[in-house]
Amino acid sequence: MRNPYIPSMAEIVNIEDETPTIKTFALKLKDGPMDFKPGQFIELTVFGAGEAPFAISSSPFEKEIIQVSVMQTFNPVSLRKGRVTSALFTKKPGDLVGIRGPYGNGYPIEKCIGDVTIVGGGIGASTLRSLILYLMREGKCRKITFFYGARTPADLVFKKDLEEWKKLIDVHVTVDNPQDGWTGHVGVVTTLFDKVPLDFSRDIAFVCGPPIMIKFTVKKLLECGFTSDKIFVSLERFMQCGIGKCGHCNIGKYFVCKDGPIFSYEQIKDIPEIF
Amino acid sequence: MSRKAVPTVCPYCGVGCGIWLQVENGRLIGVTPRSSHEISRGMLCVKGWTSHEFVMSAERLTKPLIKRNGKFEEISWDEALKIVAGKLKEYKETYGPEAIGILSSAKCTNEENYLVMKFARAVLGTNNIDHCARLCHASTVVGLMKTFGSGAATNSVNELENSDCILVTGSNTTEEHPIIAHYIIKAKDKGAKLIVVDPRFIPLAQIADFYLRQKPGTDVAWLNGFMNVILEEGLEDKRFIQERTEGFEELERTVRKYTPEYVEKITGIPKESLIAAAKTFALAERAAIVYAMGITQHTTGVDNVISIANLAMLTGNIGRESTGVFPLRGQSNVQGACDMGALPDFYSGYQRVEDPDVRAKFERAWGVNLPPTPGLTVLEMMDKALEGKLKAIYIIGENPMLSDPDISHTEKALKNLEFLVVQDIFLTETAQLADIVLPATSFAEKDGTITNTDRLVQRIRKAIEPIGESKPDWQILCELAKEMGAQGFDYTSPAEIMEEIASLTPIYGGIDYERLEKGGLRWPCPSKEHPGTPYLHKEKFTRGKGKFIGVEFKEPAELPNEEYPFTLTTGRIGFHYHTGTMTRRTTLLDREVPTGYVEINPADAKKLNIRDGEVVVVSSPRGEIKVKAFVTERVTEGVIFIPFHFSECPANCLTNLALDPLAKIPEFKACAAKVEKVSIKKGG
Amino acid sequence: MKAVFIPKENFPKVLERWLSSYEILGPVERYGEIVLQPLTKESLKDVRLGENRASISIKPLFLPQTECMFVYKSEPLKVEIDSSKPVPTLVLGVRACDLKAIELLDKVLLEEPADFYYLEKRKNTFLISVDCEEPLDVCFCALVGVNPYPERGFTINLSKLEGGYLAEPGDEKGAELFEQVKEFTIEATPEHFSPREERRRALLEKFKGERLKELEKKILSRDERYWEELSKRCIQCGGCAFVCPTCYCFYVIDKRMSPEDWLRERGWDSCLFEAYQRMTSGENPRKTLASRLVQRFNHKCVYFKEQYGEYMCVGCGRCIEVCPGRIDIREILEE
Repeated sequence: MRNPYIPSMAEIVNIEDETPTIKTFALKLKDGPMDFKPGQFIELTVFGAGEAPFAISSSPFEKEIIQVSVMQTFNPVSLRKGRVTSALFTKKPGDLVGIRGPYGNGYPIEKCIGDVTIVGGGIGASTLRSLILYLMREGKCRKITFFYGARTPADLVFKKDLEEWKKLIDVHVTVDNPQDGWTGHVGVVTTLFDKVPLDFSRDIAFVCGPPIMIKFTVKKLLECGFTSDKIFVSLERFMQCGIGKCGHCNIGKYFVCKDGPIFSYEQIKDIPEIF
Repeated sequence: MSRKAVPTVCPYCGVGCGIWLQVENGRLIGVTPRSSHEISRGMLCVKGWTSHEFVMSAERLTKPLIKRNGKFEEISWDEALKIVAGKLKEYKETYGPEAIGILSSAKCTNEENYLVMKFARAVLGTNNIDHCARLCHASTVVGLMKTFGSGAATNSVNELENSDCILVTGSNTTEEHPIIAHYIIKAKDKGAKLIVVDPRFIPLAQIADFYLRQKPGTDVAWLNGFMNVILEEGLEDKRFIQERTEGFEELERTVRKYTPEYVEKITGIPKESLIAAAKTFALAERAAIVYAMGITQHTTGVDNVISIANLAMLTGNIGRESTGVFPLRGQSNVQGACDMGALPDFYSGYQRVEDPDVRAKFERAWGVNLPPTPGLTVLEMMDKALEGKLKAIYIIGENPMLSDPDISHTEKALKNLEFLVVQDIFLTETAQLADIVLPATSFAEKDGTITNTDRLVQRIRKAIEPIGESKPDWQILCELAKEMGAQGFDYTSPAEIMEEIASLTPIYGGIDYERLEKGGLRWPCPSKEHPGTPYLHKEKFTRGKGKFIGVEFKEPAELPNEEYPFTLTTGRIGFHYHTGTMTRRTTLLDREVPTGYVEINPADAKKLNIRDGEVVVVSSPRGEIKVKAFVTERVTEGVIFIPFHFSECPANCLTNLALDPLAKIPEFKACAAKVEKVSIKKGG
Repeated sequence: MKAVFIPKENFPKVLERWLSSYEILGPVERYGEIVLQPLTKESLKDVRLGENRASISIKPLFLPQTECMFVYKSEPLKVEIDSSKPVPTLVLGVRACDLKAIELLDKVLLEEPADFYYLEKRKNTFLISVDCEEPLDVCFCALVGVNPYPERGFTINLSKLEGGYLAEPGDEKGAELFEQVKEFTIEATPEHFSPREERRRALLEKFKGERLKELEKKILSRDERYWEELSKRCIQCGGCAFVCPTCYCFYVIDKRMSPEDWLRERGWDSCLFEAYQRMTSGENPRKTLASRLVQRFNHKCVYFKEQYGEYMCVGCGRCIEVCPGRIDIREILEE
């Protein structure tokens, strides 16, 4: 009988510095290729520290090596750095980590046949990258528009990818606080919508980022005529086991790890503590 | 797979809740409450529920350690005991017994505390023995002795559920003695009136009928105010005063000037509230007073306790069921440590060292001559260590490096010693300064008895084998005594030690392990047939008549001034316990409150431009700490509160050494401090 | 599978026979209360099956308060799983509320992917239940639709009658166990069943109060102020979640046991704790105690029903017994 709590081994084959606090780890799975959908996540064990959930940021077409983009967290309650992330940041290529997954429901890619609007904030772009890479390669949707915002230019993740994607899809980037050399748009990500008019004919929207950003983006999308069953958000809650058993990610009748993390706004709009 | 459940008592606070330790294959895997326990009745607080975890921590001390070249090395027990015995003997012979001090532990059992004081007196020849009660309820011992003749809680905790009025002051009962708060809540549900007087808006104040918020350190004033109102309204218990007390005239004279207007000026309590609360208290048929550190930890601690006793006697609330005075003892066995005489001026059972007849009795029993003059208290030992007069200290199960006031003073003192031995279960901040560290066992690895806050003596039972090479404290003491050539330490079990205690200690006279199998016994229990005493002073006070003592209000030693405009008060929280040695090694507790904070009123925070969660610098004339701000209405303007559990932001870095002149207890609850933003501190 | 009758004097012999092949946990009195303890030949006669339910449920047998998930060495890296099987164990004296609770726990923990540790214990633990004789003051199982006598989910059920026990098998293991002790039993007849039905009817009558209906409506009808008031009593001891036979939330932590050995441990948790849903970023969707009380009761009576079609409360009343703040779930569920 399989024990779903035992991690399998993976080797860190590459570490990319995305920003001063975010690194992308490329992991080669020892037990063979992993089949996953964009939007799913893995539970990553740093031996000697603990286990934490991270969204897969690489393309599902790459099954041997998966990527996770990790932000070094600082816990303002304990005044200590996140246990798992700070241990992970000391690892080097060749080091082994533990993997469980893929978990979660992933994005409803079967619904992506018309226009797709993707809105990301900060490290939220991590799970959206997997989705964008998939949609671009799969080629079934008519148009992809990606809106991305971060606090400062230095906090923009996947800078190289953004340049590549501009050639194939609509990419609009903004920062809250410009710094030297920034010539692009300034303002929160919802201000980009004024620049690029959205209308309800753009079938489906995906939003991922900090809770406050999701809240205001969803509001704006509804104003633009999207219906709540066509807006999908990636909810963030404390997750531990990843398989709906430990109870921590329970919200309403859902478990974020099992029934999410991707939810349509229709599913969650009536839950009182949602944002 | 071997499973068993061992009935014992929670190792944390003075309530003494009954627990089953769940053991599987020789390891502790959990705790369940004992539903038939007379006090806890199947309930526990979160610390009790998780009290198994720290026992199994990998950080437990497993071998004796010696410090060589600034680093600890493991040595054998033989070596360690030889070194300690040798050193103690050397100091005794070279400098005299007065150059050695012992700090006993309020977490150790009664048997162990008895052995510690026997060791100090019979083997070392010194009365320099004390323990942490000095820091918490020394005022109670002195104050209630003077007024009632006995320094312990007068009634049993369960009786609170039938009180008609409960006055809770200086006790955050919900967080510090949760199961006692249960009885208060139960009384309230049954219709009792609850009066809470506290400078902080504690959880119990949320359900109180009267919440009075006084300035820290003004307790004598409002207590005298209560009594003034009661006399004004003619609500005092005249019969009780006449038949059972003496000194009433002195009290009446003193409280005459503490009118509600005068009290309002001193304390800040609106006079209408004072009058209403006082009347309610006096009109109740059965009223009880519950108090803790807010009353005792002041330079006027003894006066505060005396005022509480005055109030209880004035209203005839002593010597009857569901009335009385409840000093809530903090540690699981601080009552027992006091009972067993781990004090510089008492043998076990509060028999005075200076009394020649008492001393002769112990000399006969132990076969040695005993020192006649009372010894040094905890803080006096630190002073003498700093002066170089105290050469060696043997600390058992205490962590003064975090729990003493003005810890930089303690640090200098301990570092100035020639020899420091620390016996503990973890390498605490104090153990890190030691020359020799001896690994002791926790409550789950030994047998013994402990005494809770309402005088209930209970059995703790061994559930698992000692971790590593750790040994029960009583065994270590016996081996050490024998190594020093002493007689009378040949006990083979704690039960034997209790037999000796019972023979020499009248209040424990009827306590033995066989009787304790059927349940706890409340002292005084002078003989094998005596059933124990639920409440004290029934027909007469322990001293005969209760004594009224008029006390005047005095301000705290250190008041806020221009440079240090805040009153800093320190204390505890529900998720952690004292210096955190046990709770910070428990997953749930450490997760809930991972580090310390300073409670600051929103108006004050706004003035200083401090956000909730921001790290700030709090300083006092003794030192400064960086700590997270918690902006809350719990404290009033001008007052800040810091829990003292956290070694990375130790509140006791800031507290002062001012002591109550009689009890020698420090004023943890009031000193002057200032709060600054980190940026200002750096720039300024 | 046929039911049997075990005459009173044969009961210890039956237990002794079973003791030769299984570990048996049975209710015995120790220090004034009924606790589940491993039985030995000597303690068989001390088994107390009557009266009311034990204060601790059988949940810890399947979900221990702390449990080692696996160990690993850091240098060289190696994960070690304990492959030893739990010892086959009979648990004596299980009540209807315990059985219903296990049924509810199965829904969550055996759902794919199944919780390995729970499943292993489930497979090797056999429940021998008994009819209750007397409800406690706090028992309200009948009021939430859980009958105070076991109807399914047991290996064997014992109903006390004059002169002995009517024993029904609930599964193949039950039949197997009967086979082992058939020389001590006689075939059950309608003369055994009718008094049993009578006792069960009388027992139901003892439950005072109206049947509680539409629990989710009651919970959802409580407003913010109600939960605020309740939060003044809650001291966050975790007791309600720890004693509740259907609460299963757990934390996971990696602990160092020696310089090279680490252990991944899981332990009981409660949604009432502040840090329960607090993320490393400091974000906490349920900052106030009132909001966490809402979560606890909603999960029990609203969300679980939406997920699995049943309420998660079996009416055992243990949360009422264990609460220092005197919070009574019946009051919350009544009008």
